Amino acid sequence: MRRKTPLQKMSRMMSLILLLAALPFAVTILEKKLNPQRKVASDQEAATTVLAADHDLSEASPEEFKKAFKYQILKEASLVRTNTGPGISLGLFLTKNESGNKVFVCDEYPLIDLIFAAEGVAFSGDIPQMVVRGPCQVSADQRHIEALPIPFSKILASPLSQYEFQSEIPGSREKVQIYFRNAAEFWPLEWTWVGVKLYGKNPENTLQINGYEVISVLGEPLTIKASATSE
Amino acid sequence: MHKFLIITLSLLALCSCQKGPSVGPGDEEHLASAAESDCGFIQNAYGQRVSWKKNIPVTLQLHKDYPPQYEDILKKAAHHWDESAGMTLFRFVRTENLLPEVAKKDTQNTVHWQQEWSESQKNMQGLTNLYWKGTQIYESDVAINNKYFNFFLENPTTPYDVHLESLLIHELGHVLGLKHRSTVPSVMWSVLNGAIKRDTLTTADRETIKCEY
Repeated sequence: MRRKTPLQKMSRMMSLILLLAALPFAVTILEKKLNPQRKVASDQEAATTVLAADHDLSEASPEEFKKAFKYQILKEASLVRTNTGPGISLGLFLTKNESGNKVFVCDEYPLIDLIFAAEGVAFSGDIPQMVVRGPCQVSADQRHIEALPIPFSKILASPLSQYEFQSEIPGSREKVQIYFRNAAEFWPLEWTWVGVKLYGKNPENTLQINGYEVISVLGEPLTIKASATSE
Repeated sequence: MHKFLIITLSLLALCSCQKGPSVGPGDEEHLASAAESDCGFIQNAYGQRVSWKKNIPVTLQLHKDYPPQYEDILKKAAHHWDESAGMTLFRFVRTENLLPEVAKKDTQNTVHWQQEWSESQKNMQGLTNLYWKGTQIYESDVAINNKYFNFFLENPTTPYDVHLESLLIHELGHVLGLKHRSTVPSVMWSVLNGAIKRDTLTTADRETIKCEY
């Protein structure tokens, strides 16, 4: 058996002291991270704690928030098919309200616009546009913003002179409005997602994401194909 | 034992690092880096200008209803763009091919003189459809609204008559990939009032066309 030098003994002692000193802090932090559900103080807080820490932008600085909200919305965006038609489900995140409480983004920004541009076609220099406007509604899994269905079968069967349509979020009575601009000759069949706009309770307060930002997070444009048959 | 303690301690320290909000890859500037200046052209989803690139001159087939007496006006309108670009951008042919009665997507570039026009679009003097893939335009169809408008070459007979050469310059601009402009004097203004001539390319129009041709 090798005998330990005094230096080795001292080093061992120091490590032990450090470990004992750090242990209470480490245990507290681990407790917070691993068992957040124990912090329930209200229904709202209980719901918001379902979201993981990286969805929580309530403590983000204004500079961080400016970019982070875009990433949170886009990184979990996906195409969803419903009986009414396709829609895009967005990532959800937490923010802080005026009273400083942690809330879902939909509580602060109740209205949402998804903006689409027709792919590969222009009529007299103008690319047709479609705006899908509806409520910002938290999905059942509490990790997404509910998709707003686009009723393409109804749209494609309608004359071009009709530029406003309506649909509903499945399982909800909330109405979705669909507006068209510049669709002059025929209904385009491919629509590229080029932006999102969330309107605050004060409509002048908005959060916006443009088409280039969508592409930079998703890696490529997200295009919806319109079909005359129900989804 | 000693090493185990150090590893445990390091792991605890690592776990306790407060994780900030995830802001995603890149920075603000990087997010919009795909976009290029529009220079008056239509842009695709990446913000790139769309044009005919090297596939010029564009050959446009004249529908049988296009009045032969107005062929020279069409060529004159095209010449404004040719002269500005320093190359021939358009060719026109009378074709024996059976073209559809109204402009439609059919892989052929056409000029229609239409007696049939949707009432909901009766205010439009002309309409140019443009189709592209990536940054490459592959089809364009021009339709002139002969149902709701009368045209003049030199002098209008009513205040509502449309100057044909001005209209054709404008529509051929769309064929090249140009969009409407509103902030600078241009033949690509979206409105051409009755009895008005706008048949001279402006400095802005000349600079614009050189961005792609």
